[in-house]
Amino acid sequence: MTGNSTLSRVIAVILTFALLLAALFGLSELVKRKASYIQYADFFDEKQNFDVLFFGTSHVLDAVQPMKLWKDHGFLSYNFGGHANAIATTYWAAQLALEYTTPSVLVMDCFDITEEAKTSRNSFSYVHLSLDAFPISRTKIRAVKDLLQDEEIDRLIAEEKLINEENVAVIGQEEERDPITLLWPFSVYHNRWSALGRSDFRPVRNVQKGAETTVGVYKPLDRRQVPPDEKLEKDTVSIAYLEKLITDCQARGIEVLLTYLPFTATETEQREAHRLYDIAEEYGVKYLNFLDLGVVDYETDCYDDTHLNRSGAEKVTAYLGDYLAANYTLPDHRNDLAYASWHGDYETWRTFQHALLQEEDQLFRYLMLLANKNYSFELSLGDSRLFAAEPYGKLLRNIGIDEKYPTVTLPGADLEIRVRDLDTGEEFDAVQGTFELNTAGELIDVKLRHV
Amino acid sequence: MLFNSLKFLIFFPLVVLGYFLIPDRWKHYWLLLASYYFYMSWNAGYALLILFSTGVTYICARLLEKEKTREAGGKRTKRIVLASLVLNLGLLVYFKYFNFLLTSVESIFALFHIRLQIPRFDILLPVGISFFIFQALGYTIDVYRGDIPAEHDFFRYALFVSFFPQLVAGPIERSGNLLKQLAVPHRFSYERTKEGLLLMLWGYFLKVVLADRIAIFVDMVYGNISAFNGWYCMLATVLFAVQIYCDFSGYSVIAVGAAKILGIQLMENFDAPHLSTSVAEFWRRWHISLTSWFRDYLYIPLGGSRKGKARKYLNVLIVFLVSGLWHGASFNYVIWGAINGLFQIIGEILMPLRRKAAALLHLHRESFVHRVISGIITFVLVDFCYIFFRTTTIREAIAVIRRILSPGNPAELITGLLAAQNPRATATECLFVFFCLLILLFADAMKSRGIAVRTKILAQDSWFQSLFFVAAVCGILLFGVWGPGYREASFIYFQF
Repeated sequence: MTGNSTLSRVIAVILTFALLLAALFGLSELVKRKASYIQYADFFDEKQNFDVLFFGTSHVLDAVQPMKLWKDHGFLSYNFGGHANAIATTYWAAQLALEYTTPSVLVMDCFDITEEAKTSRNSFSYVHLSLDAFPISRTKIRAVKDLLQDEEIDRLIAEEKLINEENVAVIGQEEERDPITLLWPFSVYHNRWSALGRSDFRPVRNVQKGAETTVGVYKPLDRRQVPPDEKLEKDTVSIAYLEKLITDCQARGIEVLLTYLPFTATETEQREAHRLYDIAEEYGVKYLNFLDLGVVDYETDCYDDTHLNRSGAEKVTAYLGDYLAANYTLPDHRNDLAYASWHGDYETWRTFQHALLQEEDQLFRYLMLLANKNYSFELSLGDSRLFAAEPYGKLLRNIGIDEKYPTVTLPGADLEIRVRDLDTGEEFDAVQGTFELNTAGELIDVKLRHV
Repeated sequence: MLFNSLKFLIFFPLVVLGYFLIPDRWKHYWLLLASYYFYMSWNAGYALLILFSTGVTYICARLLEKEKTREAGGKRTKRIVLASLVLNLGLLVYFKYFNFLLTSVESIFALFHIRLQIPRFDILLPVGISFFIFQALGYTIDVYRGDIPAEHDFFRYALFVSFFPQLVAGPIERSGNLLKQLAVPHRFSYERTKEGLLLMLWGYFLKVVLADRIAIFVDMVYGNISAFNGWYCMLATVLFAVQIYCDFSGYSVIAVGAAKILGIQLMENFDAPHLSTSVAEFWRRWHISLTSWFRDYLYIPLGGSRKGKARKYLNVLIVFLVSGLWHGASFNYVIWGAINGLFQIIGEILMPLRRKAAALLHLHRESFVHRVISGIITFVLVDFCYIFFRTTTIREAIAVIRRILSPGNPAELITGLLAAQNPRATATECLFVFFCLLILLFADAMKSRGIAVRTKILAQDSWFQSLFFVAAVCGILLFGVWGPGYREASFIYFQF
């Protein structure tokens, strides 16, 4: 073999492997589950330091709207809530996020401090949502290693409480508890090739700075109120991680605000909320127990038993914004040119919020979405029987309309709503509704059409 | 350490690198070390088993050589061969058949209403034991017959028994082919490496992309026969034939490719068997290394076809019964072997009749249509036998046959597909499997015409070869069934 042919072969091999790596990278991008990436895309793209980061479970995702905080107070925040996250998972998500930014305040929602497991016992795949978007790093390797050393989950598996019919480790699990799945997600996502959809080729990024908006109205169960002196007594794995997060933040000069966001909590959950007063006091941090604050109306502001809808989010975000502005030194960047892109992001978010109303075809959800301080609306009501039919009556009262509201004659409809954005003055949606009555003359449904 | 494991993908390049970098005199020690490490990655204790078999056959061969130089006659040499057979087969029987034998004894006594309860041993079947013991025994017999001289270098012989590419699933190599190749050090060859890599990629395609994907459906149906109608059972049985072929031949091809990179040519184990036009031809093209082993070391010593028709048929039946038992310690395998043997015997008995019928009907036996029809009939017969291979009990096999004979509504296959959690993904996967089957059919059709597709690829320009390599690796990684499990449907839930 001549020197030239050896060289050409070496070059051919190098080029082949380079091409292979490029092709594999492209394939990985295509087949990866996009949820985590689209949720955190804005976080990674942000050049400026964040002022506030919100951590916790889906309770946080649904309850805190960072764009509203920008609009009302001008500070930069991001929602890092994770579906079904155990506190330990949140701890590591926070560690990863803090490698990119140092906020002034870290808000930690402390739902489920009773949990002994480090990852969701319902589904291991939820961890992907919190970790996938973060590139491989020493912290990520430590996170994965730690999250998989989970005595509680190991115990449950050993007792066959978490093994499904396919012998996969956890009931409802769709993948094995294997570190490779988190460190090299292609190892699990390559199987998505047959299920790729349009959103995989044109992923739509989250325009809510990590938050989610839940559109629904649900009347949760009434729960017995637990006296304040009844609290979670034992120290759990989750509490240990919570304490570690607080001390880590304090060491970095980050202030911590603990929250227990509102929902109709069970007795165990109320005891969790009570225990948090002690933890907050011990570490000298502030704590907002929304279970006691009466910020939301559970009859109009819930999406399900544990999550808030958009109306609830509006109230909680407003309260949190005012509290943060009053209790911490947070800058208002609204007039700072360096943050001009946030005005553009806000416009995108505003359009997204408008679309929720424009696409809504159920009156009860439409009324719920009207609970927004940025909107004004004109309501023409042709039939007062709407007040007597729940949940409409409560939802009307939620937006400041009660039985005294005058009725008018509406040709061809029983109700008309015109909605205007207070910032732009633009009327961006209008609907007419027709009531469906039963033989007894009671309202059973409302047909809504956009006009 | 399976070929389709991350461990092997790290292990193999390191072995290759080491092999070509170390001095020639150390090369076979390096491969021996690698082979033992490979085998011990399942269980360190396995090293003792393979060492025992290696030691016994090595010593026996040396003794045979000594006896032959003394020209002392046949009795002692036969005793030596017998000792090797007894010790090796004893090992095999203990690990593979002991509990099966106890169950069989209990069943026989039960026929006479005598209830026996013999305590069982918790015996773990060592991986590949049937393969390396047959390879070592073949060597003893070869030396006994004088086909090859006894190997004096114990380490080289140990490498022959344990050579990692073919250690756990064949091909069962012949000493005449492999030992002499192990005796010489091999230099790195760029062209040979490319060919070896292509073979390995083809093997991975067969195993990881096709066999393991088909297995999902086959396991689903065979895992719960009563839940599926006859059409499902029929389709699963047909697909099982493809699955086992892709699984086994895929593993063999990876072995051949891996050995080729190291400069060693292993025998081909499969020659497009499902394109055979008779059961006898199928067995000449399926698991060739085992079939030829049985032919050379069992069928011919039994008398082969030299002692009349009746004895020939008996010999065929014996070979197939033993072959069935070799595949697994269960009566299902015995029946599988027996039916295959009977098909061969009946095929041969009916041969004159078939020829006459063809002549009367003016059928050209070599015509395409005749070959296709014969191929389909052969496939159906072979596939029927697989029912016994795939099921674990005879009762279960009969249940499958009953379902196939009263298949029910064929539309249920489609409605079942639509009822899947993600029908679009399921339909895509079905189409994909169909496309892969066409690729397999094409490659096998080429092979049966004596054309190896890889040589055609290697004849192309290097840029094409590079693109093909990249596409193949990406295709296998993307479409293969590997890594931690994943179910798309489960990921949909995110409203929490």
